Amino acid sequence: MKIISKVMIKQIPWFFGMMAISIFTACSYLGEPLEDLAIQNRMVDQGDYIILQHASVNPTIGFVFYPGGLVDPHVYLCWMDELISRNHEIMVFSLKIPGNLSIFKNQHGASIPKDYPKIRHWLTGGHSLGGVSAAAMANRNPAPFSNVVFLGSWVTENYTLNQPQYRVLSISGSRDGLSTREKIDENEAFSPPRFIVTDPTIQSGQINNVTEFYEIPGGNHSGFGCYGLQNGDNEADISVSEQQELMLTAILTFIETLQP
Amino acid sequence: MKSIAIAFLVLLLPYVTMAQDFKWDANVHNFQRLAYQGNAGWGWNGAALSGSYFFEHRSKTKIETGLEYGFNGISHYVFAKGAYHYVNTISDSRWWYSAGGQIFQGMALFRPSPLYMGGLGVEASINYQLRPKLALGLSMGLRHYGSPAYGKYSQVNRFWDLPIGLHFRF
Repeated sequence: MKIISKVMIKQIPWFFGMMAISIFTACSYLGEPLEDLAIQNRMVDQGDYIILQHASVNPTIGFVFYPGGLVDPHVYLCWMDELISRNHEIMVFSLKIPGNLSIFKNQHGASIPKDYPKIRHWLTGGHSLGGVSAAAMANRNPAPFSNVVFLGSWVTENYTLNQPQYRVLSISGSRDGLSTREKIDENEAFSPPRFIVTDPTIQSGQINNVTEFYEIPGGNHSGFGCYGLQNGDNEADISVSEQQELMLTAILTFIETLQP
Repeated sequence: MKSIAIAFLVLLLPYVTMAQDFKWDANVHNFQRLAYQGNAGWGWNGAALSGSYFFEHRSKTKIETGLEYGFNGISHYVFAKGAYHYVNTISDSRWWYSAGGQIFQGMALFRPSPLYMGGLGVEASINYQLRPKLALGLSMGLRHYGSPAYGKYSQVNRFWDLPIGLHFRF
């Protein structure tokens, strides 16, 4: 037992060393203060998720969104508010997960549809690591989550979506330094067959078994939220608002043709 | 930042000033959320690791200081922890229990800059002395913490959690 105690005491510097490394690497990206966004009356924080909803309409489309890894969920409110403003039928559920790491709770959004029976259409999606979690949830819950939106993300081998019931919108940025085109292409086989879109207003015309892939020219990884430039990402050739305008157009086009 | 630095210095002071015998403690915590911002809401709310040491204050009381690193409903965080414990051994057995109050001062780890986060808690534990210099214990408590500055970014910046812990003391 003395040996065990000595070994444990020797581990103390390692313990604090690992702690220091983790502290250095585990900082979440934070966006703009809410008062700058002026959306307080359209959002409600439910503890497990943030709801964005246009007050005047009963929504019929639910969008369950997984934030990127180590990214505060509020950094996406800048474009989510615009999304519900352009289509009042949409209700967004931006998930909140301890430590901002959705891999700890990738089925977090699965129970939401039970609480909102009036919503007829559901889609899920995520940014970066959040997209992987969204795929994991869609993989286990194809009904109702057969529509999936990836922002700088892809499907992994463990949670494939290459079955006929899925319809996927994959949006990437040509300047993305983290979710590069090479990585997305390597995992193409785990999604439905790809249909490349060069204009965000164009769609495949299929209601399932398709991955509509749209690469934003000059867009980067960080431009899918409002939090500055992420470590390892490239500088974008277009502004964040330009990137998000193209992204929103693609998402709204995708939503227009949701399976009835 | 100055207040955080002062908190760290105060809480870490015993490391450099105390010469008496002390015991190390390594702790793993799981947090169950009880409420947020005054609303009841049960759910998993994170986990933490902590390293601290205990030194005797009086015959049945101990002071604990240490560091805790983990993630919770706000973010990843680091806390300097201070606690005061009442400790009692169950007669003629290897079992002993303790109860005490805790204070946490630290920061929520955000980029581009961290935000102050602090809290208060109570904790009770039951322990078993495996060997003369090694004890194993289970703890449960109640913790309230928050980050006032995070309130600018989120409608929820205060939580009540139920921490459940497993610790080794050696």
